[in-house]
Amino acid sequence: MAGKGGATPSTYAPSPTTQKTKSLIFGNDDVDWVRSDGREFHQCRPAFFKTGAVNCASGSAYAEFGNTKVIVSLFGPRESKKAMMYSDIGRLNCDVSYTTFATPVRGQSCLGKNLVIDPILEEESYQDGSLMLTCMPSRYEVTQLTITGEWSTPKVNEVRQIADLFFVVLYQMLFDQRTSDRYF
Amino acid sequence: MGLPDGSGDLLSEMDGDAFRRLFPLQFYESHFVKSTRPDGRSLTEARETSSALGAVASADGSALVKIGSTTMLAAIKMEVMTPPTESPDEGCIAIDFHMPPICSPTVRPGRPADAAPVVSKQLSDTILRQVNCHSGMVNLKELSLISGKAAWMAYLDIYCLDADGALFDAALLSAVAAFSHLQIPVVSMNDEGKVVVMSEEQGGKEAVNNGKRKLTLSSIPFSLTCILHKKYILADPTAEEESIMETLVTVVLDSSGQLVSLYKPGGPVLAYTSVIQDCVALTRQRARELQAILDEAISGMEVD
Amino acid sequence: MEIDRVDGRTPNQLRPLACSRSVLNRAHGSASWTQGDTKVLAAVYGPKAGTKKNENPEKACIEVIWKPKTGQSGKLEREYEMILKRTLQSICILTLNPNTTTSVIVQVVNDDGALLPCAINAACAALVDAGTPLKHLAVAICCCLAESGYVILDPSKLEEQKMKAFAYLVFPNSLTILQEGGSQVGGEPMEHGIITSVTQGAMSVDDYLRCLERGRAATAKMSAFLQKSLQPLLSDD
Repeated sequence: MAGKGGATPSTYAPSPTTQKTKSLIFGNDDVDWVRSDGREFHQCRPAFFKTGAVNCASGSAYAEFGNTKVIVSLFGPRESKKAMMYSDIGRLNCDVSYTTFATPVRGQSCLGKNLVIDPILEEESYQDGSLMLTCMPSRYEVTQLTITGEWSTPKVNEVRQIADLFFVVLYQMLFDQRTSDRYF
Repeated sequence: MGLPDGSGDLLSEMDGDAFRRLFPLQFYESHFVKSTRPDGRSLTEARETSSALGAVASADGSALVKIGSTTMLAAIKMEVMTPPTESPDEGCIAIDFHMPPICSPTVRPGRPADAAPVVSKQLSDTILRQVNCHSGMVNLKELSLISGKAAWMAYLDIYCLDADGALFDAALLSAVAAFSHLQIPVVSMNDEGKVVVMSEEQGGKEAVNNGKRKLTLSSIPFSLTCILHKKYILADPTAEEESIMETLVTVVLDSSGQLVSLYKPGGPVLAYTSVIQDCVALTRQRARELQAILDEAISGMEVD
Repeated sequence: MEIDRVDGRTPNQLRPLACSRSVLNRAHGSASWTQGDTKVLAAVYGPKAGTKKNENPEKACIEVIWKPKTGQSGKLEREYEMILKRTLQSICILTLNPNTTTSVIVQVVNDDGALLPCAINAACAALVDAGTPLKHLAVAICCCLAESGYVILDPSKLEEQKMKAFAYLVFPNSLTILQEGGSQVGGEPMEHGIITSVTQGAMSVDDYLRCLERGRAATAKMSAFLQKSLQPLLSDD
C-alpha cells in the first residue's frame, strides 16, 4: 500500500549550467556597470513590512526586500528547562530555517570599486567583500558589525553614512505601517 | 472535566476570558446551544478562505493559501531524473509537508512536529492515490520527457506558516493550487545528454516538451475536517477547538464526487452512519466553495 | 455473486485468527495476534509516572511505538503510531490514572495484508492482558472494494494490491462492559459507531457505506473470538 514511495531517485535541476561570468555583469570597466535590476548602487529594493503575520505567535512579522521574504515568529516567555541552571536573566533562543525553495543569504556588500547596498543573490556571489551593520536607530548605537573581505577606513565610513539614512527610513516604516509599500 | 458544584455562582462572577481559559469545554458548549461559535461562525461554516498563486518567484509553481489564520505556502520545483525501469514513461511527484517552529508554539526548534509526517503521508495518499495503478490527480505519464531516459520529478514542498487548525485541508488546497499554477519549463537536450532549460539564444535546438507546459488535473480532491462533539458537528476547526474536542473526521471528495478518503483517527466520539453522511454532505458543499475559490485564483492569474 | 479469491475464501470469510496472551515475560502485558500470515506482537509497559511534553497531565497518556519488520521508521510508521494512539485513547479510561504514561510497543512480525487492523487487535489484547482499565474493546477489520464492485473482507497482501480501494475500520465491542445507560446511542447500537476509519483509493460514498455494513457484521464474529481468547481476564474484572 505504500506504493512506489521507496528510495527517491537522484535528480538534477534543468537550469542552464553556463554561469554568467563576472565580466558579463560588471562590464569591462569596473566603475561603469549597471545592476541587473536597474537600481543605482546606493538604492535599496522595494521593502515591505507587516507585523502580526502569524496569529498563534506572541509576536510576529513579515518582511520583504524585493524577492527576499522572511517571516519571524516569537513565542514565550516560557519556563526554562528544569535541567538548566537557575539564572537571574532570561534567555533568547533563535532558530533560522530556509524553505527548500528559498534564496539564501543577504547582507550589504561592496562590488568592484563601487559601494553597493542591499545586493541581490547574483551580486552577492561576485562580491569582493561585505559589510553588515545592525543598529538601534533610536539610541544611535551599532549592535552588530560583520565585515568580510578587504575594507579601507574611508569605505567603511561611506557605508556608515549611507546606512544611517537607510535605517531612519526603515525605522519609520516599521512604526508607520500605513506606508507599507514604500520605495527607497 | 465536570464543573465543581456551585460553579454556577463562580461562572456569573467570572469574566469571559477567564471562563474560556478555565472551563474551555463549557465555554464552547455555551455557544453551541445557541448554534454559534466563539468566532461568530455557525457550527457548519468554514472560515474565510483565500488562495494566491505564484507567491514564490524561484519555484515553477506556487500558492499561498489561508483558511482563517491557518496559512500554507506550497511550491513545486521541477527537476529531471532517469525514470525507473519498471515505469519508463512516468515521472514522479515527491510531496513533503513541513512545520517550521514559526508556525506554532507547540513546535520547538530541533524537535520536529509529530503532526508533520502524518499530514505529509495523508497528502501523498490523497494526491497520488497509488492503489492498483489508478492515477490520482496528476497523470504521471504527463511528466515523462524522453521514454526511459528522462522524466520530471516534481518536488512539492508545503510549509505551514501559521498552524491554527484544519492543517490537512489547507495543505491539500495549497497543493492543488500550486499544481494549477505550475508552468513546466521548456527544456531541450544538450550535447552531454542532460536536459536543460531553453534560453532564447539557443533557438536552433528543439524543445523536448514543446507545448506541454501545463498538467491536466483530473478529479481534483477537496477536503473538509469536522469535529464531532456530543451531537454537534463543527466544520473547519481552529487549533483551540481541536485541542479541546478531540474527535476529528476528515472527508476528501474529488471533483467527480468520489470519496477519496474518510479519515477518522480514533477520538472519544463514535461516528454513526448518519454523522458520516452529514460530514460527506458538508464536504460536498465545501468542495464547491473551494473549487470556486481556486477558479477565481486561476482566472486572476490569466488576467495578469 | 461469485468472486474468486486466491486462497479460495468467500468474500466475507476471514483468514484463520489466532491470539495468545502474555507471550512476553518482562512486559506488563503482551499479546500476539495473527490473521492468516499477518502477525503482530504488542507489548504494554506501564503505567509509569509522569506524562510527556504537550500531553495533558490530568489524564493518563498513551504512547505508541511502531516497529516495522525491517528497516527504519518512516512516515507510514509515524502515521500508524498516531492512528493507534488515538484509537487506544478512545477505549481506555484515561481519568483513572492521571499523570501517567502507558507505553504500547507494536512489533510487526509478518505483513501479509490488513496490517494496521491486525496491530490494533493485538494492541487491544495486550492492554487487556496488562489489566489497563478499558471502556470497551476495539475490533479492527479491513474491507476491500474490488474493481468489480464487490466488497471482500480481511484481504491478503496480494489481494490488497489488486483492489480499487480499501477501508480500515475499527468498531467498539461493548458486550462485557460497564456501560451506563445501556449500549444504545440515538437509536443505533453502540457497536455501529466507528472509532477509526482510514481509507485508500477512491470509491463512491455508497460503496463506503457498504464496506461499513459488511465490516460491522464481520467484527461481531471477531469480537466473539477476542472475548473467548481473553475470557479468563475479562471475567476477573
